[in-house]
This record gives sequence, C-alpha cells and structure tokens, in this order.
Amino acid sequence: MKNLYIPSPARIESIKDETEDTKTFKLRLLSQFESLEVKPGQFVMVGALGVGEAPISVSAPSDGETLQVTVRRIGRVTNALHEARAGDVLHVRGPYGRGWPLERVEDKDLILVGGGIGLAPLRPVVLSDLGARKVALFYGARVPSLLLYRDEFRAWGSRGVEVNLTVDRPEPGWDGKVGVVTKLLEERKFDRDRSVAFVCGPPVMIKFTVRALLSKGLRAGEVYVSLESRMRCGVGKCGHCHFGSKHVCLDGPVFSVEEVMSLPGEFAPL
Amino acid sequence: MRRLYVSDVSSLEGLFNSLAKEKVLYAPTSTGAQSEFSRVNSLTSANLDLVNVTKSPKFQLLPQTVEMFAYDPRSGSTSSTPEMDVDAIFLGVRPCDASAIGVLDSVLLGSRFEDPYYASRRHRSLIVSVACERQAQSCFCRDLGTGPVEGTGGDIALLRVDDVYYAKPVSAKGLDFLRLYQSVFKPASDGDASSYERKRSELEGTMGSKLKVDALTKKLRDVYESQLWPSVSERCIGCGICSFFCPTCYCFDTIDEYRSGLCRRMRGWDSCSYCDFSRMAGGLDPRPTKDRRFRHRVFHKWSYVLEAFGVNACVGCGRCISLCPVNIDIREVLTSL
Repeated sequence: MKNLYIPSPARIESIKDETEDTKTFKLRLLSQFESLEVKPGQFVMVGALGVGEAPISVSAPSDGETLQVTVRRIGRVTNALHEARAGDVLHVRGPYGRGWPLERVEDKDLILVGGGIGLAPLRPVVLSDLGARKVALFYGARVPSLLLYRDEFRAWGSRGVEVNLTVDRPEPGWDGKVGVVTKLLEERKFDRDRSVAFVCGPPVMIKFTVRALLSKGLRAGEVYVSLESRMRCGVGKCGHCHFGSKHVCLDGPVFSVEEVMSLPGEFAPL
Repeated sequence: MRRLYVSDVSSLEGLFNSLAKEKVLYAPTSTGAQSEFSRVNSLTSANLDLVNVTKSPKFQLLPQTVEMFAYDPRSGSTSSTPEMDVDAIFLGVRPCDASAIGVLDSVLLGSRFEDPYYASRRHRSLIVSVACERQAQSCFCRDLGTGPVEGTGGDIALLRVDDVYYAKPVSAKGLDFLRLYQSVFKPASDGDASSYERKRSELEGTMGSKLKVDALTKKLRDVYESQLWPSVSERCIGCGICSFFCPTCYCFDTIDEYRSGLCRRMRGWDSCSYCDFSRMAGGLDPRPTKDRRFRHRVFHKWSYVLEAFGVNACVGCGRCISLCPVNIDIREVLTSL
C-alpha cells in the first residue's frame, strides 16, 4: 500500500519575488505525483524536510509536470521555504481538496474578489480556459507594493479579464483607487442570474465581501469562498480542520456561502 | 441475531495461551494503580477482572508517537517506517473500548483515504472483548449502547457465564477466527442462547441508564451559542488528559527532526484543549479562548464525528471523568447546558 503521507520530491525551477514577503515557486516534480491534474483552487502540502509542511494553494493551472505555489512568509515553514534557492529540492503531497466549481458554473460570468495573498488561488482561474464568459476581478491589498502579480495584469486584461485594483493606503506613484475591496463592488451592478462569485482573502475581507455580494442580489449558493485552517495531514485524519460535518482539507478549501452558513459559527465568521 | 458460539473456560484459555506463542497476545495487566494492555506469554499474568484498564488499546493501535518516515538528504531517498509485521490479539478489551476501535476504524480506515500507520496495526489485530460484570461510577456505556455486553466495534465479543464463555462475532474477521478454531468454539444450542440472554439482561439491568443521549444530541444544536460555555469550562486547565486517554481521540500533530543524519517526520497525539491546536501561521485562530476550545471538544465528540463519519465519538468509558484533574464530568456538562 502506498503511504499517502510520504511526499514527492520537487526541484525548484525558478523563484519570482512578488512582494517584499511573497514569492512564487515553480516546482518540477521529480517523481510520480498522486494526480497530475491539479484543479484551480486545490492545494498541496509543501514541505521543507527538517522543518515541516504547510498547506498552500496552487497558483497556476496544471501542466502535468510543474506546479506553482505563491507563498507568503508568515510562519516557521514558509520562512524555511523563503530561504530555499532555485535548484533546491522541496517535498510536496497532493493535490488535495475541492477547488473552484468551474465545471458546474460553465455558463456563468465570474466575479473574482481577492484580498492580499488571497489572489493566489484565484490566479489559476484567471489563467485557465475561460471560454466566452465575462470575468471581472476585484483585487485589493494594504499598499500598492503588496499587490501580487503586478506585471501580469496587462496580460490578464488582454485575455478578456477586467482587472479592478484598489489599495487601503496609497504610495507615491499610485494613481489607482484607494479603499477596501468592497468599495469597488458597491459601485457595480451584477446580474444575479448570470453571475457566480469566487472570493479569497483574510477573514474580515471575506466577511464584508460576502455581505456586499449578497446585498447586490447574488445567491448564497452562487458565492464561493476559499477558507484557511491549520492542518497537518490534508486527508481528513489529523482533526485540525474539522468543523461540523466538514473538513477544510477534504470538503474545501472552497465552500459555497450556503454551506458555510450551515456550519458552526467559528468556522468562518460571515 | 448474530450467531452465537460457546466454549468452556479452560479450552478458551488454552487456545489463547497457545496462540500467545505464535502471535503477540495483549491482555490487561496492572501494576499498582496503573493498568494497560501488555504482551503476555500466558493468561496467568493477565488481569481480566479489572473494571477497565487506564490505557485503552489505542496506546498500541494508534501509538502516542510514530515515526512516519525518514529522509536521507545525501541520497535523496525516503524510507517508510516498517509496518507492524506480526499478528496480534487483544483479549479482554471492554465493550466500550471495542466500540472505540470501531470509531477509529470509521475515521482512519473509512472515507477517501486510509491512514497507513493505523491500518497496518489494525489489519493485523484481532480485538476480543469481554463483557463487564461491574461498572465504575464514571461508566456510562449503557447510555450510548456501547456495552456492557457487546460493543459496536472490534471482532469478537465474549460473555462469561459460570464456566463457559459465549462468543459472538462482531466482524467478518471475528467470524473467520471462530470458525477456524471450531474445536474450541461450538455453535450454541437454544439453551445456550437463552442462558446468554438471561445473563445479558441481568448485566444490563444492574447497570442503569441515566443520560438521555438522543435528547442531549438534539439539544446540542441549540446550545452552540449558549452563554454557559465560559462557566462550564472555567475549571479546565487545558492539560489534554481527556484527549490522551480517550479511546477515540485521534487528532495528531507532526514534527520534523534531525537525528543521526536523517530527517525524520514524527507524529504524535494532539489535543483540541491545547491553545495552539487551531492557531494558524501568522496567529489567526478560530478558537483563541478556553471556552471555545472546550465547546469544540464537546462538539467534536458528540456531534462532528457523527456528522462526518456516522459514528458517535463518545463510547462512555468514563476515562475523561475519572482522570480529569479538576473533576470535570462530561455528563454534568451536557445536562447543565
């Protein structure tokens, strides 16, 4: 029997500095991965052996050989990942969890709302085959220098994605909008029958974004959020991400707001 | 009704004594106030009269620490820890603890993934329970339907009546065992069946049921936001003893360490009573206060595992009551909410 806890080695092919505390790692798998097809919104356990592993969302569509993860330096494991150099070997397991329901909402327009590092799990959506649907991205960060993927927004625009940016505090050179991301939504009208929203960001941003979207008429079953939890195994055994009938690792990290509302209040304060 | 078999006490003891030579036989043993399952060479060193052992078979089946694998940074190779490579028999497990193994089976073997460390131990183990003749003040298996005669998990359930043991298969593995040793386990006669039922009602009758479990489980839905959680959890010191000795608590943490040039990933029991159990990198924590952690423990035991895996995670063994250093009694907590 294959031991699901043993990670696969993956060589760091390149590292891109996104912001002062965030890097995107492109990893090349050195052995057979559990499943070569990684769906947008799924996560992998990324490990620096000797330190530990952490659940990280994939940040690019799967090409079957490489894997991209965008990692913010925030704790013990992510600090160790930030010390790694191109050519080093990391260890990954997965992919795990349920991603964005792209197939289910094939004919719908997408409203993507991201806050800070929360844009990372939305990036594979932006970069996947979008077909004929309209996609509008609303993205905010504390300051302009903390916006992820700044050099890609122009290309996203030419893919047909409408990119709307805002920052909490401007910095010299910023001539865009200032304010929280929900302010961008307030100015807009959405067709509730044609629209589905995918939201990821810090809990307080998720809370107010969900409220804003529901007040715009979107249904709770058509607003999806990607949630975070401490987890150790990724496969529903370690108990850390178990709330009510759901495990964030098995049943999430993407949940509809309808599902979240049926779960214990501390799971995601909406 | 499940099939019933019968064996006289001396043949059954003779069988397990001879099996102790070719397999590992675990049975309850006690030293002073401490009791646990230990490897025995014969049943003469076992103590089958204890109300229950302090340390349930979880200590063997899901050990407190396990090396998950070792990685050699020089060769880049990873070696998995050897699995349990010998068959084991746990004899004298109490029905509540056999039920607890049923809970662990549902969580760790069921669902989409199988935990290899538990699976390798459980698949090579035969769990044989023995019905309880007495109960402790902290026992409440009757309320949960997990004892005192037959549990809801394990492989074989034994009940002693005078100089015979009645044996009921609880799993297919248990049935295979009883059939394999048909010279010891004979199919029960109608007379045996009524003697079994008589003893069963006698034992169940002496061990009364007090908690209205169905009503409590229903009530839980309404008490999540109760204002009483801070007061019912006030005494809790977050020591985690309830989790460690609970026969169904399975949560684990992992830690990497370097020893002798190898990187080893270890895992060990965790407890939702600990203040960092749900804390994420960066400090975000859905349960930053003791009353929330206490509430989570109650809900995980009595609601979440049931919702996610279809089994109640409390089996009424009472260890969390008898071992709690500040005398928290889950039965009082549930009824007071």
